[in-house]
Parts: sequence; structure tokens; C-alpha cells
Amino acid sequence: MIEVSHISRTYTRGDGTPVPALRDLSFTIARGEFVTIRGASGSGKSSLLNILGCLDTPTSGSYRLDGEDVSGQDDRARSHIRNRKIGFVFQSFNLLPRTTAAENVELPAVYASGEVDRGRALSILARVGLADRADHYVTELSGGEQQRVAIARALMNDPPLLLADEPTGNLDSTAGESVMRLLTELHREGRTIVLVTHDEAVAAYARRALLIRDGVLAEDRQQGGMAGGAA
Amino acid sequence: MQVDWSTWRHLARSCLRQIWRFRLRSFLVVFCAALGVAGAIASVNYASGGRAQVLEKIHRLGTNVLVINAEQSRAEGGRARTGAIVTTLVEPDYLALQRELEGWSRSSALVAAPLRLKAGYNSRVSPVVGVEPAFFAIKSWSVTAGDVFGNEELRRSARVALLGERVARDLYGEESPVGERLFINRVPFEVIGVLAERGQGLDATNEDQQVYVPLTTAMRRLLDVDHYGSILFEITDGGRLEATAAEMRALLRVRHRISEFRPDDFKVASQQGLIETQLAATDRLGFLVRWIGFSGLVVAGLGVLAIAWIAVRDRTTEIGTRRALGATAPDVFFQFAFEAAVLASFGAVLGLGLGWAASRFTAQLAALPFVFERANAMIALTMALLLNLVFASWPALRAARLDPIRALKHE
Repeated sequence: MIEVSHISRTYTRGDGTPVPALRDLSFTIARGEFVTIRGASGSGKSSLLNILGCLDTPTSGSYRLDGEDVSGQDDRARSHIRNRKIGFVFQSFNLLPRTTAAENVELPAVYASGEVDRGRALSILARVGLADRADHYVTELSGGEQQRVAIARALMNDPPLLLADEPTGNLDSTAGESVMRLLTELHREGRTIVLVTHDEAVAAYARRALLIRDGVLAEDRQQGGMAGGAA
Repeated sequence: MQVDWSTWRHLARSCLRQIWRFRLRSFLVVFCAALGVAGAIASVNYASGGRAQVLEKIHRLGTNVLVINAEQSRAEGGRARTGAIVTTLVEPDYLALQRELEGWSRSSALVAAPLRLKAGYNSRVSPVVGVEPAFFAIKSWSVTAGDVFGNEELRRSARVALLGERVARDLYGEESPVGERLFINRVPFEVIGVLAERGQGLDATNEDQQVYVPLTTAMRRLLDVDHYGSILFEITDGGRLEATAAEMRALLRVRHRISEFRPDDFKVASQQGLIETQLAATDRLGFLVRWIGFSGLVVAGLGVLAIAWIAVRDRTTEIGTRRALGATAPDVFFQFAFEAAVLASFGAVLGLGLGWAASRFTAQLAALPFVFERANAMIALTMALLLNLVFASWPALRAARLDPIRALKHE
């Protein structure tokens, strides 16, 4: 599913000094895996997430997503990959303001083809337990509900990869647990999930944990994982 | 640029929803654009109204009119001779001019003097002018009450008078003076009409203050003179004004036996210089106003730009989110440019109507003729649309060029 080989990412500071964020990083993630990526701030975790999410390209090395080399693609091609292959879930939900839940869920379909299947959006909302909230404005929803709308939106184009960046960071523990339960269920349905967090409790849901430190892969550990355990 | 039309169609639809949901911002853009267009249209129409009024005054003064004044035009023997009465412009001169000149349509000789008027207990001194009936046609001047005298009255030297609007009011108040008796220098006259109000003319005389009687009546019964003060000729071809003036001058110099180095004892003048000065002034005003209107359009465009710019900044996170969900840079550009362009265009069209209403209002307020210059309105509208397109595109371009990663991190 994800093949990262020898990728590096170097930023250039204002005065021209190169700052390496990722150094010669290699790993693979198979289809259907539930993986967390952990790391302190400044570890290069965000840089890796941006590359995995096709928002950024590595300075060197290659990244294959779903069998396709995406490391050298232009902006337009990467936009299409993000649209079809990756479902994003953000820490602050990133729902569009003054827009209904259903309209948010439909958004990826707008950019895919312009043909919007309202029925599909509603059934996905039902899948995340928000059938009765479809026509509510996002500001009328609780944090947990908003994040579930965001997850529904990530599923709209049926992408093979779900990329979640601190999905419980802005939620209380109850709402956080319900979101994690939902992700676990999606994993069981066969989706590949990559979750970035520094919360140990959240990381414990995954079967495999990667640790990034100083731009290199410091640890790649298989663990019990509540997701696997529950299955 | 490869474009997915169905995506854009959908974006356009959702933009229209967004316009309503962010109505304060939408209103500001519409208001800004409308004000710019309305201002440009109203100010230019105001200037055009002023120009129309000047043209109207020129028309009243008599276009293509040559005036021969009996006056000593130059100092003589070291002494200024202005004010001296010149008695050399007489009927044979007038008849000769009528006979010899070509290309004139109407003419009138004039005599004038300030005389005492008396009506009942009211009395005042006013210029009394003796004219021929053609005078009123040359000046395109009509009566509000009664009638103008004709050739019959001229032949009989009838004791009839036409009053300027102001004189009529001073002597008779609000009542109609038609049929009333008026003494001019103790000679009884019958008032046969009141002339329409003219206000201050371009030549600075106030014709409302004057009394008009038949030329022959003034010469024989009031002033006892056989020379004229001036003669008006209306020339059919405006382009021959100067040439005709030269012919008049030559003819009169011969008739008055003025030798080569002696000055004229008359002066031929046309209103052309006056008209040109007036029109040049209004044209300068029109030019100024056009620039002000154009500046207004640019300022309004900058308003649209500022609001669109703020909108892009406010919606940076949204832009990042849309990019993450698969929006291409052109998709983002289209969304923002479309929204601003729709609002600004709507505002511009609204401004057209607003400009029309404002033009009417200011015309009424300033007592100017209402003028709506369609060509100017179209130019203002087109310019507003073009400006807004540019000013809407710029922030949209910035939105499209935002780095998705930075946009997502923006708070």
C-alpha cells in the first residue's frame, strides 16, 4: 500500500542554510494495516505526514502509494491522488463553516467528477451514526459529531488510505473513544489507516507503531492493538 | 489548463449558496461596486446637465447672431470716446445691409434707453428697448401671458409694451398685467404681454428687467431719434459668421465714408467667443468630472479587492482543507474569482439603476436639466466589470497559489 524508500526532506531556511527534517527514511505499510506514527514535535513527524498525504514531495527518495510512484508528480496530479486515494481526518475537523454536514461529506465528490451522489453521502453519514444530522450546519454539532462528519467526508470517494492527524486531539475522552472505535471498525472493514498522534492511549489502538526521532525511523514495533484484539 | 466543467458547475452552485450564507460580506462587495458605478454615472450626468443648461442659454442668446453696435471703438485724440453717443447707424444703413448681405434669415434693429415706468402708485426706472417682432424669434423667446406685437403695431408705432418677468412682478405684483395701463416717460402704453423668465444670460444682462416696445414707437414717441443703437442679424450658415462680419464692416465703412486710417464708428460682434469660452469651461468641468467618476470606479474596485483579499485570508484554512480533499489550484481560483465576480457584477448593474436615480435626484436638486448619458453609463459599467474582474482575480490567484500545508496550519 505504502512503500517509502530512502526519502529525505530538506527545508531551506531564509538565509539559505539547509535544514534536514527527514533523513533516509524507509518503511512499507501493507494494505489493511492500522499503523500509528509517533514522535515529539520537531521530530519530522509532520513532514512525513505531508509527504504521505501527497501535500509535499520528498527532496530525494521515492514514495509509492497504491502501486503508483507519486514522489515526482506535479500539483495537479497530486491533487487527484489526494482526492481519490487518501481520506484526510484533521485534528480540528476542518469542516467548511456555514455548510451542512451533508454538503461537507459531498465535497470530495465535487472535486472528483462534479457528479454528486447525495444518497451515497447520506448512507455514509448513517454509517458514522449521523443519519439525522445531515442537514444540520456544522456549528450545530458537537465536537465528536463534527469529527465523525469529517471521517464520513474522508470516506466519500472510497479511498484505500485514511490519514488521521491527531483525530482526538480536540475531543474530550468520551468523544475521543467513540471516534477511535469508529476508526477501529473501519480498519476491520479492510481500510488502511495511518494515524499520527503523541497520545499513548490512542496509539494503543493500532497493531503497529512507528516512532520518528530526529528525522529517522527510531522504532518499528508490532503490538497487540485493541483493534486486532477486538477482532 | 485542463478544466473539469462539472466540478466548476457544482462549485458555482455552492458559491451562490455561500453568497447568501456570508451575506454581510456579500453585501459589502455589492454595495462597493454599486456605489462606484452609480457615482461615475451620476457625476458625469450632472456635468452633462450643466452643459445642457449652457447650450440652452446659448440658444436663448441666439446662435449665429451678428450684432452691429453703434459705438466708438477706439480712443481718439488721446481721449476715450466710450459712452459718447454715436448717431451714424441709421435706417439707410440697415436697408443697405439687408439688400447687400446674403445668407441671413432674420434681423432686428434696436434702440434702448433707461426710462421711468409708472403703473398706479408703482414706479421704477428700467431699460426700455425698441425692437422689431423678429427680435423675439431670433432670441427664441416666448410670452407666458398675452402676445408678442407684430408688424402691424410696428407700422402704426402702436403704444404697446411687453414686460420682462421681473418688471411685471415689480409693477403689478402677482396679478396679470395684460391689458393694464403703463406710463413710460408719461406716455400711456397698453401692456400686451409678459415674457417668459430668462434669468441671468450668458452676456450678463438680465433681460427680465427690461421692457420691450415696437422699434418705431421707441424711436418716434419715446426717444425722438432716427439712429439705431444696434442691429441684429441672424446668419443661416454658422460657418460664414466671420466672413459676413467682414462684409458688414466693409459696407458700413464705405457708407460712413471712413477713410483708411480712421477707426470704425461701429463694432460688429458675434456671440461665438462667448459661446466658445462657456463651452470650454463646461467641457473642462466635464473632463474633471469624468476623471472623478473614473477614480470613484477604481476606489470602488479597490474596495472589492480589499474585501475579497480579507475573505481569502479568513478562509485560508478552508482553502487548505479543499486542497487536501483534492481541489486543484485552478479549482480554488475559479471558486474565489467566480464568487467575487458574481457579486461585483451584480453590484455594478445595481449601480446602473442607482446612478439613474441619483442623476434624477441631483438634477432636480440643482435645477438642471436631467440628462442620462447612455454611452457614458455603458462605459462606466464596462469599466467597472473589467476592473472588478482584475480586482477579483488577484485575491483568487493568491488563494490558488497558497501552499496547502501552510494553509492547513493557518489559524
